[in-house]
Amino acid sequence: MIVTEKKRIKIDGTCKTNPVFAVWSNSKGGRGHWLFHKVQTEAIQTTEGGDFEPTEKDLENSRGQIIDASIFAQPQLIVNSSIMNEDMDGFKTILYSTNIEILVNPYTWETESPKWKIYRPLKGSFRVIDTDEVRTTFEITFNLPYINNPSK
Amino acid sequence: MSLAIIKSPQTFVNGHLSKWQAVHQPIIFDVQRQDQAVKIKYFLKATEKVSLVLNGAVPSEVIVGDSIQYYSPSGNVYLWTVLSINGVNIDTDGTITGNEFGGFINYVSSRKNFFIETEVFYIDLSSTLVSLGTLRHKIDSEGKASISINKWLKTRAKFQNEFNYDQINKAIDGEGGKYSIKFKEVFLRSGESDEIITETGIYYWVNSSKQVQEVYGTNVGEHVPTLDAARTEKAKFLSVFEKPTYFVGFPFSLSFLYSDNLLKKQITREEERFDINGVSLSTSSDNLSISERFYNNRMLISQGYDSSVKEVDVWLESGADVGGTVVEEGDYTTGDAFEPWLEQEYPVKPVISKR
Repeated sequence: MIVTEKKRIKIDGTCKTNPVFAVWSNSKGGRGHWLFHKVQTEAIQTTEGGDFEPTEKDLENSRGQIIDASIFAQPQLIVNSSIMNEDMDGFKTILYSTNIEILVNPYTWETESPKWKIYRPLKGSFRVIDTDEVRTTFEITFNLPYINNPSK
Repeated sequence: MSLAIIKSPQTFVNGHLSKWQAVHQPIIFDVQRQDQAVKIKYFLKATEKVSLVLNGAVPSEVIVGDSIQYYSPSGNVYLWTVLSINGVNIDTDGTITGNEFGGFINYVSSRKNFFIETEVFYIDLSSTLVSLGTLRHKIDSEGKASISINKWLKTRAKFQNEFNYDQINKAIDGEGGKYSIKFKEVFLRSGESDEIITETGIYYWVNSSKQVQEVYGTNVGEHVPTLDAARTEKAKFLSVFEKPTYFVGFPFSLSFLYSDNLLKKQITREEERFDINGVSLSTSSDNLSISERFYNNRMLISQGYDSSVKEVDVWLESGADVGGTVVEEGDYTTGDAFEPWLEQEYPVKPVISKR
């Protein structure tokens, strides 16, 4: 006796360059999977964590006036994907998942078990679908784990 | 009689029970204090007062002059004074006419400082009960309390991916789980503290949220498989994609609820593969591991497909009966279901985990 729906799964066996494979927890208690590939942009966002200006006593030998006490360094990864409209309902859930993990060892995970790193999507408003097109190009910016930076 | 569970977090899916709830929304037990059942309430013309015949003897601590509350089967509540007691009979100062079968009474005077203490138990993968803590509730004027327990279970929810993609199906602790409840009625009887314990059977939660206007409310019945050939909307996998994509060479799993309804049956993963023109190429059937039952499961697909395979249909079927020890957790009458754990856990106080 059949006890579940018949779920149709698409098989994508095409070669991928620069793979970024994401798995995220969805609102139903399951997982979404997606493979970003081709072009990604790495970025870094820095914000001031405070500075100070010591009293200058020896101007002749001074090396400057303002010294940074700390800088917050946030690496980012911008990924793109051309999403078929029929996939968009599922794909867009990555934008509000509270747990997105990226496969760290895409070439060796089958032999050494998968390793993951948590990426956090930048929050905002997104245009998710163009109904007059079959595909919609989608861009997501992820915040990666921040850099532990020495502070004064 | 003791505490009655008048509404529990469960629903029926085409006549089959679903005890599976989304943990990120209220999971509520509605309970009602019911100290003693009433066989009949009748109006005595001679005295023009109400008398009650109970289903058992009146407790010894109840005395003339005590206040009792009578809850009629039609839903009315009356507060009366006890005028006399004789075995299973109580004469009261009530004056409503007519006879009525059923209902119950609460002993207001002789059971003072009444409250309900609810203990929530998480049941881990080794079937050990772990206490998540206790809640205290007062009852309202109708003897009822509404007890929400999902905040306790949420502490056990896990979000990180802990599946190694190395077995056909795997129960993941924290993506769902089992729980049970112990209600304790606490009160003073003749000045001494006393308590009555009521236990529920096993219930289930999923690390999920339901949406506005979705069927079954906060119950995830649409995802709960049942052995029901007549069910037209079969249980859905826990995927948000209409057609998920398997990227060859990368991890992939489908999640499903390996429900208690599938007890005693071997469940198989069925596949049918299609080429680019939708022509069927091959089929397969593989047994799932029954040791992963009663949890949210991650399931692999066969993989290793020939390059001509472009789409795969995946579904679950129930097959032959499985015998042996599988019955141990299955019949959810309260006593039976608890026995294996009660022997381990009581009277030793269960470990209190973080809230």
